[in-house]
Amino acid sequence: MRTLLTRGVVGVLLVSLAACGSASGNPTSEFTAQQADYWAISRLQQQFHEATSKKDIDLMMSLYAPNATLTIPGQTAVGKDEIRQFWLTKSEAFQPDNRWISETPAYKMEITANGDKGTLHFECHYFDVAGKTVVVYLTADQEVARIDGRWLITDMVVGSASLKP
Amino acid sequence: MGIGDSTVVRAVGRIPAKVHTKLLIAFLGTVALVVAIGVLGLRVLSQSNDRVAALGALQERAAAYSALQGDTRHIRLLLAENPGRDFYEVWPIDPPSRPAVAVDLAVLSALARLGPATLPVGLGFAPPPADARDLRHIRVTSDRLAAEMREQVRSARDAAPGDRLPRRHKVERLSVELNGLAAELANRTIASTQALIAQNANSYASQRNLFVGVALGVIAAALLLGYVLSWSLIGPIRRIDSRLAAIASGDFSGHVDVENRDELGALGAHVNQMNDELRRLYDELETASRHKSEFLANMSHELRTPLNAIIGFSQMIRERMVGEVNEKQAEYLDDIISSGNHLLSLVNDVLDLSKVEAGQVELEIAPFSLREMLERGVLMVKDRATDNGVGLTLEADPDVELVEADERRTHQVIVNLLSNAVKFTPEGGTISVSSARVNGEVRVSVADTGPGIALADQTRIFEEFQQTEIGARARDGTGLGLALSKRLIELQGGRIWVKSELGKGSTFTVAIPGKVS
Repeated sequence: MRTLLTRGVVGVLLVSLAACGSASGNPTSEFTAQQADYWAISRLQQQFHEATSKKDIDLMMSLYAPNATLTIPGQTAVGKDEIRQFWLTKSEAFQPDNRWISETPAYKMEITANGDKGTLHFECHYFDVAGKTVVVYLTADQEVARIDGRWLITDMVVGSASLKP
Repeated sequence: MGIGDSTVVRAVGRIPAKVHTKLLIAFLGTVALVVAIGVLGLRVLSQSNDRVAALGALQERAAAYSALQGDTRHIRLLLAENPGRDFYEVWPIDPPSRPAVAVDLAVLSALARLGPATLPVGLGFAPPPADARDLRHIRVTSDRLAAEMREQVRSARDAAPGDRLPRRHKVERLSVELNGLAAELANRTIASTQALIAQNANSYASQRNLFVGVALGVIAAALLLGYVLSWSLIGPIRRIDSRLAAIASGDFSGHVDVENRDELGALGAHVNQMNDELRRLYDELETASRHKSEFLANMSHELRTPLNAIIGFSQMIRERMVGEVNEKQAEYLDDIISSGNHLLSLVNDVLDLSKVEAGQVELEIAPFSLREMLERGVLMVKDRATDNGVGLTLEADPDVELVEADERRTHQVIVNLLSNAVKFTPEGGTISVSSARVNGEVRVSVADTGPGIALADQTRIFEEFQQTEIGARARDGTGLGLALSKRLIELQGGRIWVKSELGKGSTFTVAIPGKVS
């Protein structure tokens, strides 16, 4: 009886001590998580160029959120179906006759990430492989969000760019 | 080791404080624990309230910054709507029909509203320092963008197409920067809001666990306190009670062990003291009783010898065996013989009683015929009953024939009961003797139609020298017969009792556990 009583009291005290502990934020883990977010968002830029260079429309569409928007001068595509059609019909990069390769100089990319939302801005240059010339240069401003654990583009605006450094 | 014998319980018992003080301390301790729970509950509520207030302020800021970011996004989208004709030289799509200058004017209009919206007056609250720094940055960028836009509108007519593109790119870069600043501020605040919500959930869980844990701890401590204190009192009380019960049953061999240094400890010590004193007195009484019994036995024996001589020689003289006696002498001799027999009967009873008390009676248990023994008893008193005009009947149960008991002692008891019945039953009355087997016992009842015995006397008559008022008046009897009968029956493991009511006769019953053969 005494042993049972002692064990009971010790158990209750352990529960009490365990209850006193509380989870507190760890600065190191927060920094690591932010770096992981930056990397995941930068991957959107890399995959964007891989999709245009390889004319991989499925890879391109995997970068957009379901209700994403894409704005080019004068028109806005809403939803993945319209965006897919835009890339297939409006973009020269996806035309079969063109052999274009696109890229972003590493220093021409900016990323912010806070919680589940962020921004991604990059300038990109399109090279014509046959003519060995830059045929298009532009900017892409994007709002991104983490949806179901994955960073996706929710809003994209195409803008002017310069070939200057 | 029992519940009340644990080390902790005994340690509490050894605390040199009164029971009243211990109970007071336990009560105050329990109250302190309850107050501790109350204080903890208030602290938890206060922290919860603070978090709710902080969350409200954060949500207000997040809403304002999101609206601000909506404005900067709107400016960015306006600029994207029509980047100017030179844009299409490198981006091969159809340009929109809306004039570029109209878009630029719309952007300037939106920028004019953006600046005031970053001030506390426009926001509706005073932003914290980090937010104020970002808002100032947004305001400066907005001003720079407005200046560039005004320059772009002014130079739209004059500049060559090749010169306009770098300026438009610069404008868009500023717009992107402006939108990025606003988005980061809004997103950061939203993230902080969500983090606070998550923190609230975690805090709630941890504080609930803390509260439950502390409450369980407090309950356990209160139970432990109550357990230890109550058993430090109950344990000694039980031990003292057990010792008192042993003393009540005549066992003075032990001592109660109470380590308490409070009132119970004193009580235990007094019980031990009482036990020792009672044992001393009991030993003295036992010795005195033994001496008395031995004295009575010896004296009875010494008295009987001359008494037999007195009676015997008186009878010889009365029977004229040693010569003639006249009537007066014969009358005196009858008185001597009668008184001598009475005295002999008294001495015999005293002797028997003394032997029983001195433990000198040895039972002779053997099978005998109960019916025959009863017949002999009835025969012994039949003449006297007939002389008194009293009817005497025997109704022996044929199923109870052979019984294992001390025949001589049992016969002595039955004769005593019959003698009493004959003595007290008036003329015309009846005496009924019967035997039966009830619940494994052999019972013999002697019922008479005498004057009966009052309820108050029914126990007393079985004690030495105790008689009813009628018996005492009769001056016939020693007051030892029933006491001796009771001892002889109980010696055989049996019982004797009477059922009677004044005026309605008496029934004496003897029950012996004698085996029926």
